[in-house]
Amino acid sequence: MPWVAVIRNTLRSLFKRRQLEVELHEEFEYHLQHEIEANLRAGMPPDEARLAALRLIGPISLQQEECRDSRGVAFFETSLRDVRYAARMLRRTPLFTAAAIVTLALGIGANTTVFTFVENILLRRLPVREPHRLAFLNRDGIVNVSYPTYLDLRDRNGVFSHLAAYRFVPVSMSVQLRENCRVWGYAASGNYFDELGIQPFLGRFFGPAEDDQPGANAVVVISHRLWRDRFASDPNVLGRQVKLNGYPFTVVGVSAAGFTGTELILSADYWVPLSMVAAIEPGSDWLRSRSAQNLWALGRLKPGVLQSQAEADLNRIAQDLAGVYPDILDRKTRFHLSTPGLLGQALRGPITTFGLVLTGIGALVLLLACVNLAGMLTARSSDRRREVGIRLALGAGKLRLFRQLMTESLLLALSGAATGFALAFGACRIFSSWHLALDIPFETAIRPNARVLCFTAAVAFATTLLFGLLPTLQTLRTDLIPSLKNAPGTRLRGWGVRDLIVTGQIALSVILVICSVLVVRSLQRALDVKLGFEPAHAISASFDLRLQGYDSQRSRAFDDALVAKVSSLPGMRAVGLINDFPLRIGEDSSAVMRPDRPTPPPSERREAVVYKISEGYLKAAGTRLLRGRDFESRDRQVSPAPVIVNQALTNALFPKEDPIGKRIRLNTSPADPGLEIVGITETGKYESLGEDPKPAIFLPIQQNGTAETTLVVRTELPPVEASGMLRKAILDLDPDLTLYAVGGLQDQLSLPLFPARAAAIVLGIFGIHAIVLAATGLFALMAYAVARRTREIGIRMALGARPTEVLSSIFRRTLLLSAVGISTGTLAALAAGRLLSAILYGISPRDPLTYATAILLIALVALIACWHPATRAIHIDPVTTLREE
Amino acid sequence: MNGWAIAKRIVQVSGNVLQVQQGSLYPALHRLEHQGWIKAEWKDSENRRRAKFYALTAAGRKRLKSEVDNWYRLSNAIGLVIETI
Repeated sequence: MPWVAVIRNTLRSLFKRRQLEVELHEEFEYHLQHEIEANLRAGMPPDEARLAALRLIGPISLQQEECRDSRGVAFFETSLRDVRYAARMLRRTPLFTAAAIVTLALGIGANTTVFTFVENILLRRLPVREPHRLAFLNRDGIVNVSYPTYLDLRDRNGVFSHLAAYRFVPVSMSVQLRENCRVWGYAASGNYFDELGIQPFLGRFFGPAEDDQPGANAVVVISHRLWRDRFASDPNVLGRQVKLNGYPFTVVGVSAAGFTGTELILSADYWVPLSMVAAIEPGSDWLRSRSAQNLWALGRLKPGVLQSQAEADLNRIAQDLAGVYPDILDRKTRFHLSTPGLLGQALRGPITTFGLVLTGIGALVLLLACVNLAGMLTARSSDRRREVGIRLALGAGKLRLFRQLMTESLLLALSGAATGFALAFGACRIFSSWHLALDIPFETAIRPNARVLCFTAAVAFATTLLFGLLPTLQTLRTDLIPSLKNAPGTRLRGWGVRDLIVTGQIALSVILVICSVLVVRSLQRALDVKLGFEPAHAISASFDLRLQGYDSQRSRAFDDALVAKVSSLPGMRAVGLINDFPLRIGEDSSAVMRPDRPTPPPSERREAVVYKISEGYLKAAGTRLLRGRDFESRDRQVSPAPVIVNQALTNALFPKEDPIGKRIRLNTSPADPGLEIVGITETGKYESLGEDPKPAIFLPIQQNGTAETTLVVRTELPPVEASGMLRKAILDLDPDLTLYAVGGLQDQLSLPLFPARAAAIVLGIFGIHAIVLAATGLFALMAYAVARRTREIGIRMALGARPTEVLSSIFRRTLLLSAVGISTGTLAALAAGRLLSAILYGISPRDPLTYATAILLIALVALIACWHPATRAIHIDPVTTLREE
Repeated sequence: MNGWAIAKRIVQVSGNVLQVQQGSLYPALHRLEHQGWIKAEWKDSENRRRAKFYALTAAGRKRLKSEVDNWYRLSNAIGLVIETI
């Protein structure tokens, strides 16, 4: 077919309709006149000439209609007419239309928001070349490897074309005269950028040659954002010096705007070669230490290599290494690979579960909205029986009517989807602007894109089918005669579509309310959980002395001076120091053993979180000391060094023994005298709120040098005032220090509480939404059901039925429907609870109180929804109703 | 040729065998025009009235030839089959 002509003709039929219409009439007119003239010439009288011509031509309007259809745009034109008709019908019932659009907009908006989250966080690939070939290394649930192990893996494997390692490190950056700022970035192996295969925005990236000599190449690549904000988009930035933790680096490149590192939710602002870590982490020698497992590894699979093959190869190397270094790896060690971007399986797993739960509940809300609408439309369709009956009687095709009615549903769905998309856009804006009071550049920005728009459109069409199909089919199944007489349907009893809808609605509401209440109660539990410290009235401020070039002696002196100075301030009830406050990111941990027992193999060793604290810290943080004593100033030189342990460690290593005075050690060397336990504290939460009780030990900070230090004070002063005093006290001692995480501990708990809070807010909104939907839907359906029965009730009353009998007949039906709905919903919720248990904390997914609350709530809503229509029914005056019809 | 002339011509050429309602010709013409096999032009006819004149396009001519060839092949084949009866 000559497509050019077809397209031209289609466009012409679309845009020159009027002209084509004129030409069509002219063409037929010409033919008719010609025929008439021929007949006249043949000698017919004028009247007969015209009739004969018309007979010869045939039914003109029908033929013209066929001509119009042949233009190839009949579908479009019919649809346009249907849309106009639908819009007119919807305008005639503004209240219904508004309610329907709002219902849909909320449902579709919620789902679009959830999908945006899933799309942005879970489905997004890293902005690098061939991202599907990248794989993140996980080892038995841990994501870290040590540098020597990394080198072994890199050099011995036969499955990766590149294997890069990196570490997320904060530094204090100074750009000439400007104030120091704390930024986070990667110390990355030299092959990092080669592996990703990306291009810089300016300058160049560093390569393997710049990573082979420790300390030799002080080069830094900065992020586009840092370049814009800190360097004022300076085009001559290449070659400039910046100081990272006081050590001069040369800027060699600026990354492209879309690239913020290989972890989607942690955005990096700089990249330096791994060989330079000694410069930015003074005193660290972990590049040589096989036990310092603090790197993340990311490999690019060679073409054609399967993930399982790569894992087998890595495990082969691990077996070899376990033979050589039995202290570090053991033969049970297994590597597995996961999609990069979310810290391997450690973060991707929980986020995926969370995404699934949200998607599931979002789908339920939308389903409920659809059921609600289906209910409203069914009610409406009964009212439109007369109209449809007339049209069928006049010969309208059922298919044609079906199409027209579905157009109405589609128009509703599309309006709802457009509003919903706008709502989702707003919700994402709010979510993205939600800055956590955190030191870490935690990325929460999500925004809808073209894929999300497609999703919304698909949802709109799916909902159209869901809520529109049943009512439409019901309308079309009209018996002509009774509908024209406007008689009520014959089925007053028995189970109709409407009853099914009411039951479904109640069941869905029960599921949603149960899920929402479960999560909200779980959050309450999480907030009540024993943290192992008392966040109220505690203020903290963190700094890193090594960044300013302090050696261990000077930093000890600084710490002492600081504690003395802050203690002398008014209103400070207790003052203490800790290396890294619990529940932030990056706790140190170590294996803990008893010197008087044989050394267990690596996989059976007890891991304990290790903190370094000063005397007074436990009091300042509000950590309860269960037995023994706090550190004292005399502990500084004592040998064996004292240690305070928590209850969990006691339970693990010294069951049924008195641990005070006993010794523990942190390494396998038999020469180590170990540490003497002097006190036992309560068990707190150290890495996450949801963790099981974890062993932890506290070492005296004065005997153990530390990089980062957090000052903690307990005070009745308001947090803002107290924070200001701390800031001033620290800066008085050294005005060049960079302070971070200054403020009340309660604010700083926002990261550990973030998942639970986000879940509770989203599910809380979903839950309220579900209750509102259920209430309005039930109310509308009940009111309608009673209205339809007005005539029947009128007759009954006229025949002498008492109001209580009428009431009970209405209530009996409602109760039956509610009971069926509630029990179905409860059963479904029990099944769904298993999925939910992954994000629940401290509450069983079958918590009876939650179930009771939800069931009572829904039952109450059903009763209230039924009350008004029912009371109206018994006040019906029989005479009026009978006359009405 | 315009629609009226085409109708007359069909009747004439077929020796009055093919007699249809003349109006039914137009949907067919319009479909062919839409599909680009023929093109139409408004011109003055012999009695000074404007009429729509149809003509084959190049693509239409080619298609017609192949369809006609097809038709002969088919009708020949049918003819041969009938002869054997």
